[in-house]
Amino acid sequence: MSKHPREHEDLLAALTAGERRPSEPEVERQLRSCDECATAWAEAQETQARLERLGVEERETLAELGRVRGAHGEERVLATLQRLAAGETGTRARRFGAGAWLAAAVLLLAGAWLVVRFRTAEEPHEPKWLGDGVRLEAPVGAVPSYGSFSWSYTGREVERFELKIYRSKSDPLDPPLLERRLTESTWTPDAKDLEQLPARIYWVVEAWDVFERSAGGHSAEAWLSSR
Amino acid sequence: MADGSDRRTPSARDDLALVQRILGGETAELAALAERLLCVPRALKLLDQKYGRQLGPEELGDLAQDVLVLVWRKLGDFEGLSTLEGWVYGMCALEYRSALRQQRRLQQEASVVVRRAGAPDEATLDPDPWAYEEVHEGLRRMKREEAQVLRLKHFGGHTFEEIGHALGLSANTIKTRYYRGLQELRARLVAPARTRKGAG
Repeated sequence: MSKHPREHEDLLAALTAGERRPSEPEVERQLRSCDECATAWAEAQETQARLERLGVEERETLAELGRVRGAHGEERVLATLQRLAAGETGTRARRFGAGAWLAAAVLLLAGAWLVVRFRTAEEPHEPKWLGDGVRLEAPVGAVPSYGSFSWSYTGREVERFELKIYRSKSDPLDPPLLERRLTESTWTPDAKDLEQLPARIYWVVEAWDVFERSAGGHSAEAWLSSR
Repeated sequence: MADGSDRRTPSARDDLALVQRILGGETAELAALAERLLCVPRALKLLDQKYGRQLGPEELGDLAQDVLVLVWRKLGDFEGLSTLEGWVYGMCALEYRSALRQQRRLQQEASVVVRRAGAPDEATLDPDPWAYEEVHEGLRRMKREEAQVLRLKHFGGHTFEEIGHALGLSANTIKTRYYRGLQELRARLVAPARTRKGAG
């Protein structure tokens, strides 16, 4: 519980509400004499500014909504709701749009690049950074055994991690050998799992938030040095 | 706490009644709901314009469907303290930003593969790409009453008196909640920012 005097907190509440002004002599005195008040006021202003920036953007967009017509997807709103009301919550049919073409092009290029890389010496591969959030820790590169899989995550709150282990980096489109949904940032394969893992693996961890949105992923290769 | 149902703006009250009828199984009302939810593709179109038309029309159309699925799942949470437009905007903004990041990630991957060199840092495209998510995630996790006041004040654009009126509370109580809410949100925003700095 804070030991900050109640009357100081009341004054700060009045300040943040705009009832009092920092230029008022009494307020100015208090902000000068109480470090806690000065810090709290500075922090509150910063938070207010952040909220207001987002709030203004939101209110401006909402104010403009009435003027927008002919947005893509408008024609599908009723049909989508009818489908949802009928209990069809499955994945909708996606058009093969520009994003998908881009993804396909990326995969194609990545495949070509991998072929070139695999023909070169077996040098340690740097883990590939796929976005914000996840960093793979172990196993990466040559390891005596696979042991525990571990990674770290920084960023917004996430609900779970999805771990997928593939036979090798060249076939990430094949079904993964192992797939786990985890809430912890570590996973230890049991003896049965280990039996399925070949001498070289390619593994991917992706973080997912509560809204089922990806919060980034990371991938790496590992291989058994003793084999 | 008073529900304030007699004090909501007519539009928000109408929306709440409509949602309740839908949740009650009146599928004949789906057309009316669809009419109200035209704001989903429209908000996405506006967001895309604001961000420099980063997504194509097909992606926007598909994204609108994703948001509608989300809206449908969360319909029971709608309290009628704002209109449906205000309520779904947050979901549109979150999903739009998420789609944008995914697209940039793909572009970055493509750039890395083609040139085998570093692609432009996402930070140069959007200096604070997580700002929206962090604030809303912070609001989602903090005390409901205080988060509600912050939302109504900054996203609803209401005065303390209006918020007090809507929630059936005195303006002074609302101001105290507002200050406490700022403190709590601040604490929740500082932690992830520190973590990211430390990681970088």
